[in-house]
Amino acid sequence: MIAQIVLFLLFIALLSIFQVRSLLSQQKKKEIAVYLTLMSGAGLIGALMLAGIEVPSPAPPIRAMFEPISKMIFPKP
Amino acid sequence: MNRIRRGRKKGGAPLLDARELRLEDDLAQNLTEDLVKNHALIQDIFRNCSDFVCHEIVSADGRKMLTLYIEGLINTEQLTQQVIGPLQQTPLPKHDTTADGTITSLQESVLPNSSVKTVTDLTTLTQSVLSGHAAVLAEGAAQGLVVSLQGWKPRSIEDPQGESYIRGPREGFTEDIRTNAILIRRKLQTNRLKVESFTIGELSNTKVELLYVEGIASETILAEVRRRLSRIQIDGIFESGYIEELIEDSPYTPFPQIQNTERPDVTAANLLEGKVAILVDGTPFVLLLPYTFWSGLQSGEDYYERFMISTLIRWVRYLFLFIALLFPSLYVAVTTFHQEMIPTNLLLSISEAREASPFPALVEALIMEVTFEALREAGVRLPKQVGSAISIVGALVIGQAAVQAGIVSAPMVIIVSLTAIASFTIPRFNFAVSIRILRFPLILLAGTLGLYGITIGLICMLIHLNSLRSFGVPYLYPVAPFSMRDLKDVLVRAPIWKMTLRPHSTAPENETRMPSGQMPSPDRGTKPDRKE
Amino acid sequence: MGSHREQISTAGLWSLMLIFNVASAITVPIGAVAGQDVWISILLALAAGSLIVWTYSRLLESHPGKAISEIAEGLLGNWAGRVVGLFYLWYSFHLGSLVLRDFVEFLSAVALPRTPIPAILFPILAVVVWGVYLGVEVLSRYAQTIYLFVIFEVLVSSLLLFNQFDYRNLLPVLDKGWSPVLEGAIQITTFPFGETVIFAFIIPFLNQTDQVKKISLRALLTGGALLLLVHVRNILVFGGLTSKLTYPTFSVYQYISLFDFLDRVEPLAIVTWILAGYIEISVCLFACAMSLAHVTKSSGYRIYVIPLALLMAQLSRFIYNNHAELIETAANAWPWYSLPFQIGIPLMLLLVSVFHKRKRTRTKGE
Repeated sequence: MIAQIVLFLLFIALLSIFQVRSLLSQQKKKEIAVYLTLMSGAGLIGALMLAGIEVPSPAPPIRAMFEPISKMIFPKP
Repeated sequence: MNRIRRGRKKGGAPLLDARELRLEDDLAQNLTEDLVKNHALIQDIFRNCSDFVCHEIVSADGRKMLTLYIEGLINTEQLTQQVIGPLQQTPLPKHDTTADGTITSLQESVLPNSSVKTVTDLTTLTQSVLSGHAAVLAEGAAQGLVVSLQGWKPRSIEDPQGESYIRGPREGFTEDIRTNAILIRRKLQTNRLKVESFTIGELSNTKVELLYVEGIASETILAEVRRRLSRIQIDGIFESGYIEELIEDSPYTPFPQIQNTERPDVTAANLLEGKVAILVDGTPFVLLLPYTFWSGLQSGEDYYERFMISTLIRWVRYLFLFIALLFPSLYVAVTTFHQEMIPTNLLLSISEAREASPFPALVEALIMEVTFEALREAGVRLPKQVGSAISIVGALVIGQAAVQAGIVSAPMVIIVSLTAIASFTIPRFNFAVSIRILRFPLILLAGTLGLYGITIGLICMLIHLNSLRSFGVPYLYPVAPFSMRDLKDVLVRAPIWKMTLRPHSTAPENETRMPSGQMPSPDRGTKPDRKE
Repeated sequence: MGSHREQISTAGLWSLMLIFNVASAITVPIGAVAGQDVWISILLALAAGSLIVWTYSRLLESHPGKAISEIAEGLLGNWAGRVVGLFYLWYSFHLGSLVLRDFVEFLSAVALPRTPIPAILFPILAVVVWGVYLGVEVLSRYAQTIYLFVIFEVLVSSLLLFNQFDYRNLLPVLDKGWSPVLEGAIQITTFPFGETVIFAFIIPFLNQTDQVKKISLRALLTGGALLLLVHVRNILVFGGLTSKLTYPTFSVYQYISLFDFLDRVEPLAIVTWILAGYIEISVCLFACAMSLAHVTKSSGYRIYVIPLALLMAQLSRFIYNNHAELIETAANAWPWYSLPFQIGIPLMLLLVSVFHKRKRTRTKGE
């Protein structure tokens, strides 16, 4: 499991280095910041998933918010 | 010898060493009135060229002259009759013996041959001598004359080996660019057929000609072709393949983006569709562009046979394109992953046949496909007499013995042979090769992910094909982007009288090929034409 | 020829939208709650869907060449533009991960039961990233190359099932009243028809800006017709069983048999699913990357494609614990959740835009 996480993070790091290098040559600072934020997010979530830790899903709050509407309009026995 | 680095010129001109520098200085000079000095310069330029001939003659009025040529490159008989003879026998008019007058009057009265030109600099002189001219230098004149006397025989016009048709002209291009251009000119006898000439290759000085029909070919494509041709910098061009690789749109793709042909009739027909032809001296293969995916599946003969037959043959080709591309990978996918998808009877016989085979289907398929590629390559390279031996060995040893020994399964042999036949139905060789190459990644994908892998591979191919362009024309045109009108020549082969318009992609400005309503019938011309 | 501005043709947009509409909806059940009356639901949903499509395409047509977040920026200022951009960033991201989840789920269930999920997920992700990277022009041409296959596949399979049809399966009509039919209609309106709202990031690339409404409505109607055919066909074969099947279309293909010779044609359903699903995921990822580029005012969307694709794949894995949860959410929460994105924001922007225009013409006195 640890090997998997390390491999995954290595993969993310390699991708980032490869892409950030091309951005650096074009002097795109803002893009680099956004890119690195997203990539580290992906790295973090991926590592958590590989470690078997449950990542909070956005589905339950959405369901909690919208299912009552459905129940209200189309009541089911 | 010490290399003096001149540094790279912009665009990467080759480095010159000291000797080349000296030669370049020689070449940069103009002819002088001193014949001895001219002689020395030329001797220096052609130093160690044993095929270079330079002999002195004395003209009818006692003037020293030099004739220069490359032995074998010009017709010596003609040289004697048309140049040396007149020079030695006809005296110049007296008033014209001034320095400049000599050459003019020589050209006008002694050598009244239309192909005589005057030269003043050594570069042009050298170039002319090297391309089959004889040069004449006279004492006291700072000019020379060159006479075109090309004397070597090009190969005679033969039936093209690579593209033989059952019905159609039996002439193919040769290695000589003049012959080739004339072959096309004889098919299109119009002043609108334009021939633009380029010289490419710093040492080979290869003649390259750009042919198109003015008013039909798109000006934007032409400008692009000219631009790409003129940016080529290379030492030598020996086949149109060099040009093809240097001017195509995307180098990293297995798919050809420029068509080549050995047939003047195919070239002429394509020129009339607004395409552009590039002729290269020294090769019978003429480049045609722009090119689309579908041209790879069309043969010139489609237009010589009845349209229904040609349509049917095209459909067969499309079907076999799929077989050539997908059959082995489908077999691997189905036998490895999706056995439930085979009808039961078939499954039984396949599994029975596969029982003895020691390899998994993926490995078996790869081995057999590679073997087939090897057999094909061996058959092509070997002389014809030995080539048949290869096919016997292939058929007997690989096919029969390997199956009997239980090393490969019989269905796999059937699959591979069918694939091989299918790949030979693709009329364009370079296109067929790219399809055959793509089979291998598809087999690998099928072996790892089954049907899903194959479909992923197909998506990759479609995405890639859709991203290709040939000189601005999308590669899958007219399917994507869609054009119902031009699909007439892709989905079917519409009858000649139905294809009244030229393809929009290549001839956007002048689209009408023929007036509509020419469907033949016994009544045609006696009754008013039906509306199309 | 170097860098030319990316453009899609009307036919390209049409086929892209058509495939996007039908890609997953021909395979997964839609409006299952309506039972055998699903055809009424689809027809009602088509009407409601037309309203949604009309709203956003009217908005985009009046601001040619601008995506929805840029329109909001022009009408309501910088921050409003960013907020709208963020909304659609999330919506297309969420939608993309749902489609991806569905995609992998189906393949895992019917084609590759013993293959680990990542081995299914990553190949498609790689191809999607490549396609989105190449741009919307290539994607639209890809749609043009495959849409005929999809249509033919649907038509031919329906013809081949003709001998299995039982017309009594469509009866009784409306036996449970209008309520389930309406609920089904709402579900179908928001999935798949309303989802085309994320084309608000693709339509700006259209080369004929005055054709937006016509093309999107035409795509909606063609897609609706195909869906109607597919789902009525499934009902005609399976009757009441249809709504209980996970993949009715796939199951129906197993019934195709012609003279004991042509059978086992399910692979066609799988191939269609992959070819068309690819478009759906790619469009979502494209819209997602585009909106992110708008929100952050970046110079291009391409750099965000890989990280967004990775995140999308991850969300697709942890958003639901199981398939039942997916179906439950899709049926009950998804319609209400997506209505603000599909009609709310576009309608509001349209009203503001009309109001602005009126005000401007009044002040200018023209």
